[in-house]
Amino acid sequence: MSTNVGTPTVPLQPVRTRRPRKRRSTTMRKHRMLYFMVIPGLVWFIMFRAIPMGGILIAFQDYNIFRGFLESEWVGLKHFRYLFQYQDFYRVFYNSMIIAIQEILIGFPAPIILALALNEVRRSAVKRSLQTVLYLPYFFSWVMIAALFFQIFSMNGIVNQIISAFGGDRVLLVQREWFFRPMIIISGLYRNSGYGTIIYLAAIAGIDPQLYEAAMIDGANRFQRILLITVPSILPTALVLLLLRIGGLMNFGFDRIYNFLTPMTFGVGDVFDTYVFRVGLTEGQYSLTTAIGLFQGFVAFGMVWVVNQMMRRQGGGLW
Amino acid sequence: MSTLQRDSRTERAFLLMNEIMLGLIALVMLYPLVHTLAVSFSAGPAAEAGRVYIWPVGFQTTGWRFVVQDRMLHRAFLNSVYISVVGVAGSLAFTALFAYPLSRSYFTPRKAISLIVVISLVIRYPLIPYFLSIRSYGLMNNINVLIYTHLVIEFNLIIMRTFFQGLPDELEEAALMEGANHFHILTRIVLPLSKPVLATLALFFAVQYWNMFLHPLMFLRDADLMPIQIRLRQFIAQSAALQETVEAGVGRGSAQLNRRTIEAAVTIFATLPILMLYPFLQRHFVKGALLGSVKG
Repeated sequence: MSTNVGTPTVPLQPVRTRRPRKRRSTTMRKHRMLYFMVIPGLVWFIMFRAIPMGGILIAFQDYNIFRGFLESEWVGLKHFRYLFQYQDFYRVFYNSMIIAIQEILIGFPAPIILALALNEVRRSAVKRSLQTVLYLPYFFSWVMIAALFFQIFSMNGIVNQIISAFGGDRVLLVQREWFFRPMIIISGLYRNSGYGTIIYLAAIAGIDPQLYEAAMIDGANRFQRILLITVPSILPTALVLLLLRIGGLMNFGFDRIYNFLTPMTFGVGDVFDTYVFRVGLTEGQYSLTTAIGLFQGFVAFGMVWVVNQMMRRQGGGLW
Repeated sequence: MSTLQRDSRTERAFLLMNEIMLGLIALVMLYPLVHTLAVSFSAGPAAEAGRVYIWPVGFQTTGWRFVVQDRMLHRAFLNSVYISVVGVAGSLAFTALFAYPLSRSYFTPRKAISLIVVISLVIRYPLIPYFLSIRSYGLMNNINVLIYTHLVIEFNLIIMRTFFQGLPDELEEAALMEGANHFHILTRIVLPLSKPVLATLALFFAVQYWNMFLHPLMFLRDADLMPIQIRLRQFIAQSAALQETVEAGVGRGSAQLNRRTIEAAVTIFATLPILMLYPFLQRHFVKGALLGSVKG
């Protein structure tokens, strides 16, 4: 390798090995402050993420608050065996799955359609005011949204007035079991579909305008351009978002369900999050509900994995 | 674009229909808010009978007088202001301090720590162990627990780190030559250059703190520590219970007479900060939603 024949190779070697080490130690010293800066964040992650994650182990214990984690008795899969023989578990699992699937089928495509429609609005003042209104509900809390919905769907609310104008009987919709799931889906559309368009509108804005020009020269009309250029162009974005959404499905958001639940709609509205909260936190069945949480995590991961495999077969997927 | 090929008649009809449809959707979405605002200024019986739509009927300020007088409501509002203001400041400072080292390419543990962040973004902590660990830290019934638990939000951390990575290196190199340490670089050079991302994240954090619901429900016990959302929820639950008694035919007492206007006033009151800030913030959250998607 070495072309400098004149110099002996032996004295060169220690220099070669020492130099990188020396440089590394000086960068360490020069950037020592960085290591100090990262400490609070790391401590935070250990306290509020790592330790709670490790706490999953109490699913395999009979956790006793007086004995604590270290002293509680290990019971293996007892809680999981109990779960699968338990009526409530299947009800909650079923409720969670149904709402999750409806949410995917309706809540996921809604912002895409809305973005396609918004993109066709040519007058920018109109477009901007539409966006201002559509994005607003995203910043409302679920408590607030539930309050708004309870007003709209009350006995004398506007929905019942429309129903009775068409000759129907007034019903207190928020307390009817059959209306619970539609109400959850509608409230999700209300809050999220407008804000969800932002990312798709950006994806649409990134499409090369030459594609549209070429299509127009070829005689494609507006619908064909949407269907054959816009939709395929935002598909990759949509697939990634779909995957992320499925991952978050089983932990659907406690606030969203809890604020719409009434004693009358418990049968259809009780999902994993509300069940864990009620039975775990208020009744103190820590180990059992941690087992449910673990199960929930596995289901979510399984669903993401399955969908990712399906996407990979189509040449996409996250990993 | 239109010079190439004029829109056909059907296409123009489609564009018009499209705008009308979107306008209707926007009106439907705006209605609940405007309606609730109108109810809050209406006479109780008119609101109860459903005669209020988008304009107050029998103008009356009973609902808002209740808001002005109810001590617990003020307390809850101030609690929310406290956690929002202190929380946003704390979260921004904490996030910046953590994001800065992670954005430096020569910081060796950068990749490992970033991986931890991404993992905890994807796999959510289970609720019960989360509750038990925080209780074991002795943070129960301490209003600051709402802030401690939200000092870092993984998504926001990634946004800030990505922004820091995009800043030019030259300034920092020059400052290092001059003998400045990294803390000075962060506070004197990087943060002043990061105003756009700080504004965006301040908005995200503020909304998060203001709308917080599950955390106070889990960790707080005392009524006078509760933030506004919990108080609002109590009003709605009471109202729903009252509605049942009305349905069951139990008499309409004077307490029930104005419950709907009071509930409406409290609802608007609890959302007032968001409604007032919203017009100024639209630019920022659009940017934020896109920043997150880059490396989200």
